[in-house]
Amino acid sequence: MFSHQQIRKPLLATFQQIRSKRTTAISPEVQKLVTQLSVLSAGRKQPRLLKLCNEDYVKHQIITKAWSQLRNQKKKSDEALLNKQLDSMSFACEELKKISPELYNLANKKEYGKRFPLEIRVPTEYPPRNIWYYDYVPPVAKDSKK
Amino acid sequence: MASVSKGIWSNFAKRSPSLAVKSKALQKALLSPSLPNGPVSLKQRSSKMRYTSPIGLDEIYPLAYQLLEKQSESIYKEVEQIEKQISESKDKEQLQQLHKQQEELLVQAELNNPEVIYNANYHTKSLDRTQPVYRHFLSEKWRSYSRMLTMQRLETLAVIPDSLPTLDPQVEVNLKFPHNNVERVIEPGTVLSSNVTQKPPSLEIVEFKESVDDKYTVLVVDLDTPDVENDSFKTTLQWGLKDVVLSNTDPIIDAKKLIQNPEWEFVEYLPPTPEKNTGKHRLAVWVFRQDDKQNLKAAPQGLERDSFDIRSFVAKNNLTPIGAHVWRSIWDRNTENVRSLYGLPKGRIFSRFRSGE
Repeated sequence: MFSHQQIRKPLLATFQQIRSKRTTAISPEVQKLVTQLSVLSAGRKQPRLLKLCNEDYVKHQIITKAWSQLRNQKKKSDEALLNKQLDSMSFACEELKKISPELYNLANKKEYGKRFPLEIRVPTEYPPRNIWYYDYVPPVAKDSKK
Repeated sequence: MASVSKGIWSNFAKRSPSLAVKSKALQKALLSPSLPNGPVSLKQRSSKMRYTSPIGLDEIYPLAYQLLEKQSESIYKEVEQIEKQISESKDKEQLQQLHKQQEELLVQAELNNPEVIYNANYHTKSLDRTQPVYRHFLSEKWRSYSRMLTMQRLETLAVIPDSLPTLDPQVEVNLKFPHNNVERVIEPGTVLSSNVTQKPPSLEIVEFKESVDDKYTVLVVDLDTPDVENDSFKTTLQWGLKDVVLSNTDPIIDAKKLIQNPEWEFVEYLPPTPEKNTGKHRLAVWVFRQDDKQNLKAAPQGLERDSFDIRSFVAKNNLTPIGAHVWRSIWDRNTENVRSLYGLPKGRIFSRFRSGE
């Protein structure tokens, strides 16, 4: 009718996929397949990707660097301490050997079957819930002849 | 300003101001526990609104920063001791060793500075190359990709060993052709049209060591000029520069500098004008450093460019190559125009023939 009215051409048929929650129940076999596929894929099992701006990324690098330096320092100082302890132990043994070979041999006697006691407890920050087990009976020795 | 920095990294009495970020807003963002005015690097307001920092960053960051700053302070004390030794020492070799140690320590002292890291990662083009730490970052970046790429292109295109036997690259060579006002850094091996290579290129020689006034020689050679008499190919010297003075702050050779120093150009620039059906010509750019800082002795003005023996030239002048680049040129419909522009005769047109004829 009017010159400015354009003739509308029909749109091409578009197919749009919509995903929504499952409303109907599925059979156990199908459920099994679904769980297997879900296990194989990474969907909804990864934490969200952190997007940092430039300043925050640099700050993150600084924090990581400082933490790794701190851990390295601690490791080095622990190792140095252990080495010092070992050195002093070996020095003491050498001195003992010079002073009294009998005591040295006694000190270095092999203790067969020596283990950490079963009751040993690693130092923790907080005490255990059951402080002490009063009804403990130690195991009877195997050869009671000795 | 609640700055996280209480020590050496905010003290610029003995340190260059280029070791900080220039923008005050950005500095505030980097040196505060959290982002007081939002993320400065995000320009769009919608992005700024949406952005949230990771949880706990504001508690940990000051501690991390202060730990690294303390370490830097102790390294600067070591640097002071070495500087004392340098002032006292007379032995040349020992001085060299001490300078090397000093440079390494200066790099370590600033390597964990967040402002330096920000500049190195996000303002790479405007870094202050007089600072050892920035040179270190540039060197690491070069080694991670560009150096390998350049060597690969030189070897694949057989520039090595067709011109010089080998190259141990010390500098990064950036090649640009100023045409159409386009900022385009040429990747080694690119095929360029005759229009692009009409005018002399501008070169940037990126030194990764301290360079105050070093002298450089640049040779541009065409390795594929046809030698019909010998049924082979010969090398042509397209461009020769000598005694070019460059430094860390001024590493570019461009037309402006060449006009100011006409004695540098001992062979005028001849653009590549490959003849039809001769295929792609390799144009190699070789960069040499004049270690003794003396002028070249065996590089006369107007040296014969035809059948140029690059190896004998290099041997006569006692030069060692420190960097190279390569591009390729091929005949196109504009090549004859370039020839007439430079007053060259018309090019020959080659064709295939069977050797029995």
